[in-house]
This record gives sequence, structure tokens and C-alpha cells, in this order.
Amino acid sequence: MHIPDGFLSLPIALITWILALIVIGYSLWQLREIDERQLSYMGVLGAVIFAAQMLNFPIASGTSGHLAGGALAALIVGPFASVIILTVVLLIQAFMFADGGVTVLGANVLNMGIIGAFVGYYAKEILMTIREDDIMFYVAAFVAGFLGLFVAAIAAAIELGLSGTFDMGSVLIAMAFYHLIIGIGEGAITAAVMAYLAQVDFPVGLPSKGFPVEIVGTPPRLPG
Amino acid sequence: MMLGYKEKTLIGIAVLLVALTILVPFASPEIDGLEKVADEELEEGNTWSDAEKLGEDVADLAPFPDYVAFFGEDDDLAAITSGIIGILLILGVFAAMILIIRYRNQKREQTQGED
Repeated sequence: MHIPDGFLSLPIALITWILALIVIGYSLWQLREIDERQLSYMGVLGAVIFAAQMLNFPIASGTSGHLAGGALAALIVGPFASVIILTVVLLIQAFMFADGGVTVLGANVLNMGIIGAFVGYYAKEILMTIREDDIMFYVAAFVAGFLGLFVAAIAAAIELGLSGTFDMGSVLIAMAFYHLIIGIGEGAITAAVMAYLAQVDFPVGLPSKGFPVEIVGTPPRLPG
Repeated sequence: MMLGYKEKTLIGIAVLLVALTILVPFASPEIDGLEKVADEELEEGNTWSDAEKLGEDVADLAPFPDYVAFFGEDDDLAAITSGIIGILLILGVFAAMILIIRYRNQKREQTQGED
């Protein structure tokens, strides 16, 4: 879902850059007391997400999708760390491999990094307040992955529509259709990775394990 | 034997590099969802004005466009090499952050020692 250069208008590119920079700055501030161990986890997560993004899986009619990873990282190390991980991944992709534009990097960070991370993180938090057991944990991980990707795709569609690049209605419908399918893949991979990490006793918050979670920074709590 | 986080990190990277090398040749060559939407919209003539093509020339600046590094476009090695370059760069960025944190902590201990 990397938006290439030439697809956004100047105002939309600027607004998304400003929003992205504000959240990146706030995330770095949240991570100011991070330790070496947590940073090394973030580095490996970044490398995993970069590699996973290269592995496109086929979906319908000559189209493919790949993991975005914002929600996955947010569930493991928290949304603020996830924003920084995805920002680094997207920077390297744009500047080294022309995957996603340099001028529209703000929009790509906003969609896949920020929206993916926070929508995924809070989707899981909300679901876990309904019922806190292992089955709900995996359902929540799937929903987090799915929604993180789907809402990011809708955001990308709105940015493209507002830029006048494409007709708003048709770009929204088309992006929603393809990313509904890609989102299922994202959700499945997110749940599978969380299951694997829980199996090897990595502290991801599986209710039956009762380990402390490795969330870095303090995301605002849900009301109630 | 209990593994520390450094050993776990190194094992993670090793597994990742092997997995990438094995899996890249099987990655779908089809375009992704957003590119597909863009293609469809362009076919229908829902295109944008020239004035809004912000930074189209910038795309040519990346050294390895489309993950083709050093080898030919059809060679799986090009993508595998790109993957390794990307992974090393990302790890490098976080290694730099670790060094910054370490330096800051040393400075803090020094100033605390002086008090």
C-alpha cells in the first residue's frame, strides 16, 4: 500500500507530513527511557517487517498483498515503538528501493505506521476488555491485524481522493475491496506470529501465561 | 542454557536471513492492491492533472529501485541481495540508537558521580 511519488497533491502531502512528524516526535519522547534490550527487539522487529513486506502473497485477479506490520509491532512493543519501527522501515524502502515515494513519505508513515499501529493496538485492547482469555487474545490479534491494515488502506484512499488523483468514490470502493482480502492475510499473520511468540514464552500478554507485556512508553488508557 | 537477549537477537537475525533467502523466489510477482487500483483508475481515465504530479522525478534517485540490487531484474539474487541490504540498514539504524542511549547513560552516570 506504499503510495508512490506523484500520487498526492502538495497540500495533502504537506498535511500528512506534518501529522506524521508530530506523532513521530511524540513517540520518540515516549521512548526516551527505552533500554538497549527493548531497542534490540525493535531492530529485529523492523528487520522482520521489512523482509515480510517483500513477500507478496497472491490475492484475487492479478493482485497481491503483503504484511504491513504496524499492528503486529504495536501488539508486541506498543504503538509508539511501532511508529518508530515502521518509520525506519519506510525510510529505507523509499530512499533505497523506491518503494513508496520520498515526497509522500509522511502519508505512508501516517497510514501504515501510525494508523496501522494505533488502530491495531486499541482494537486489541477493546476486545480484551470484553473477555480476557487465550481464545479472545488470538481473535483480538487477528482483528488488530485486519483493522490496522484496512483502516490504513481507507486512509490512503481518502488521501488519493482528496488530492484529486482519482475519483473519491471509486478509489474508496476499490481500495476497500482489495484490502478487505489483504487484511485477512494481515490478520492471520499477526495472530500466527503472536501465537508463536506466546509459545516460546515471549511476553506478549497471553492471559494464561500472565507475563508482563513488553510495551514501551505509556499509551493512553481506554476510558472506563 | 538460558539465552540472553543478545543471543536471541542474533538467532532471530540468522533465521530471518535464511527464511528470506528461501522465500523470496516464491513471492507473488503480481502488483499490490494500491497499484492495482491505480491501474484500474488510469484505464478508466480517472487521472490527475500534471500540476499535481508532486515529485515524480524523485523516484529515480533510489539506488536499487524495485528491490533489484547488483543482479539482473529476473534474477532472484537481486531481490535476496536487496533484502539483505535492507535488513542490515535497518539493524544499523537501531544499532546507532543503542549507541546513543549507551552514550547518554554514561554521561548521566558521570554527572551523578560528580555531584
